[in-house]
Amino acid sequence: MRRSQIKMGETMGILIIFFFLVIFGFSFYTNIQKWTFEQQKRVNLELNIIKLYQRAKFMSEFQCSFKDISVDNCYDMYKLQAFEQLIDKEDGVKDYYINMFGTSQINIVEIYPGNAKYYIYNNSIGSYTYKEVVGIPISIYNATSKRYALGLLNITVYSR
Amino acid sequence: MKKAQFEVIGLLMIVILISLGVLFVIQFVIQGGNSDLKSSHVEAEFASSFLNAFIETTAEDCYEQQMKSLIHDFISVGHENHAFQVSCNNLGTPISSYRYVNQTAHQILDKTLFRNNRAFEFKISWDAGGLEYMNINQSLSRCKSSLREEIKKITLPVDGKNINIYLRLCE
Amino acid sequence: MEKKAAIEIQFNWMFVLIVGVIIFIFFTRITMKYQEVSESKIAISVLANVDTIATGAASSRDTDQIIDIPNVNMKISSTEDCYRTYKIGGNNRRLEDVFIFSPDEIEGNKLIFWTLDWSIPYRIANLVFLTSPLVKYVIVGDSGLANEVNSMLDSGLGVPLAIEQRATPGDISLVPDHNHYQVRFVFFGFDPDGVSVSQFEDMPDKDVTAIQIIPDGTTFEETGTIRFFEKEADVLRPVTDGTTYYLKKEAMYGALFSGNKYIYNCNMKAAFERLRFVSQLYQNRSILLNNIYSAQSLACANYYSQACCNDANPRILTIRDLAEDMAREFPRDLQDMNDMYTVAYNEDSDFSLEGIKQLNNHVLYYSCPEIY
Repeated sequence: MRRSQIKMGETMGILIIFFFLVIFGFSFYTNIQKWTFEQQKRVNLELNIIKLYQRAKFMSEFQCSFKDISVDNCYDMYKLQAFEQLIDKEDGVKDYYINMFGTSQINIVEIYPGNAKYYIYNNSIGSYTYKEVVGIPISIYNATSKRYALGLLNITVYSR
Repeated sequence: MKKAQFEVIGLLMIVILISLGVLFVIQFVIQGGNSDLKSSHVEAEFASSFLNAFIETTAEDCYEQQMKSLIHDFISVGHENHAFQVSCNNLGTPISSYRYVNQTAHQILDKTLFRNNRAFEFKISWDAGGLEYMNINQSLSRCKSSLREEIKKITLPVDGKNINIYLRLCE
Repeated sequence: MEKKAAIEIQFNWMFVLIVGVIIFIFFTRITMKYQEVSESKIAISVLANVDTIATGAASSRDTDQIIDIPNVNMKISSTEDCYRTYKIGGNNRRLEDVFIFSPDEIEGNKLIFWTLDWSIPYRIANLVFLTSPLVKYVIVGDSGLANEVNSMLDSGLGVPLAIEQRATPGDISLVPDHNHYQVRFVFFGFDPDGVSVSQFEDMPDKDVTAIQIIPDGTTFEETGTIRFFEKEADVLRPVTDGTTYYLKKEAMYGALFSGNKYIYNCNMKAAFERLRFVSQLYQNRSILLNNIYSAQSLACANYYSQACCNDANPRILTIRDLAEDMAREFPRDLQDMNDMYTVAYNEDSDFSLEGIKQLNNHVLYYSCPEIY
């Protein structure tokens, strides 16, 4: 009787250890997955900012065009001013662009020769977990003086 | 007793093996953590956008000329022949086109790469002729140990020569 | 003692069996769960990639590309209230600011993207056409427009679309069934109602569809009517409320690729909403330019004023208002399309009737900043 009890005890012990190892392994795996998801969230935010930048770069609302041909890397100064008025004063415009730009901030700062600033879009959130910032040089074209200034397109994306 | 000892040793070996496996996985996962995606894309975009925007920029006070025209001027005349280059009014302090471009490049880089303490090199050169006309840089020594480097180039044809304008960004 | 020994072995085996089954079930559940998670991960990854590619495609105009994807079944849908989504398995993504015209289902491991720039007359957005090489397109008719469309899709694109042309509806019976999962007929100059498609009788009705394109001659075929049809048994029948309209040929191509009227109409509604805001932007810009040039009494002021501020014929505002109406309710009327086209492109010796494009040409002539 004793021997079989010992054997039974042994078997139970092995099973307990086995299940303990499985549970430990599983919770470890879950924690790794959680950590991986956070990393993925980070990568998604980066993809998001790249997507946003691509969108902003090629939008007809900002791009210079000459004889109906759009010019890359060039923003029309009067379009920027008109867009600032549009998003500030017209109903429904900001809501429309929220779908496009999400929780982000977009502004353009002239760095040569002047220092004009254009606040294109602002939908920043108060408390965020992640923030990514990107500043890309662009040309700003003044259609009346036919001059090109150099500016920075600044995009900040927020995520909770 | 011996048999029991063997069994305990067996169990111990399993525990040790599993622990080693877990440590190995942790190390692997942590090392593979950093994302390169945004950095590499943004650096490449910055460099090429900067060059494109720079050559199109209109001089503040030099007969409405764009930087590419001024570069064309000092290269075709000779970058050291200041007397023969276009004399830019420069808001009342006339200077040659070479000095004007150099000054403007410094002004712009001051507000961007110099300010952010980036390691970079901005260069105008004729590679086939082995001539370097302009070189503005910061912390170039960091480029040697840098994990990632982005070099973009724009070519301007000047009097049959292919003049290259480079921007090199190091991490 | 002997009795206890007698049941020990059986008890042992029962115990082993029960524990074994528990362990087996446990691991089977983990495996199945892992498989579900993996499939979900693939679906999410494909959706994310398609989203990125679509954004890239929407940014670069007049491009065509073919993308390899895992062999997943992607469904694109538009509800009646225009909630546009695309989905793989149980995962879906909302289509927000891209205009994707596609069949309602994409099968296979290749995606074909094609973009065209939509301008009226200023550039509004890129229309993205998405399809699969496993969808068959049959152009029926040999009018100038039919030949133009066939030429564009057959040899103009750098991607392998399954396309063929038949001169009359009677020739449809000659179209072989090569096991494409969807077939779309595009009729020019013929009414598809009652046309036999018996060789596709075995296919689900929703997978054999047709559109009839009726261009308006007064606008050089840049506007017109589109009617949607679907197979019923072995003939084509018009879909209920399946009449809609197009403005510019790019939108016509959108109808050609759209799996059903909802996909087309909802994308056009979204595109008109974009047109509304872009028009307002150009209105603001023209006012700025008008103020600058009026103060200097320069010739160009007249043209900016015509574009933005002429009470009798406010060009840009007319486009904006019509676009706003169509963003609210589309389709409405072919006359709306024609009015918009006229305001944008009319060429007239009477200055007060000239379209925005002509006004833009005038300011170019005087080396003034363009209206758009």
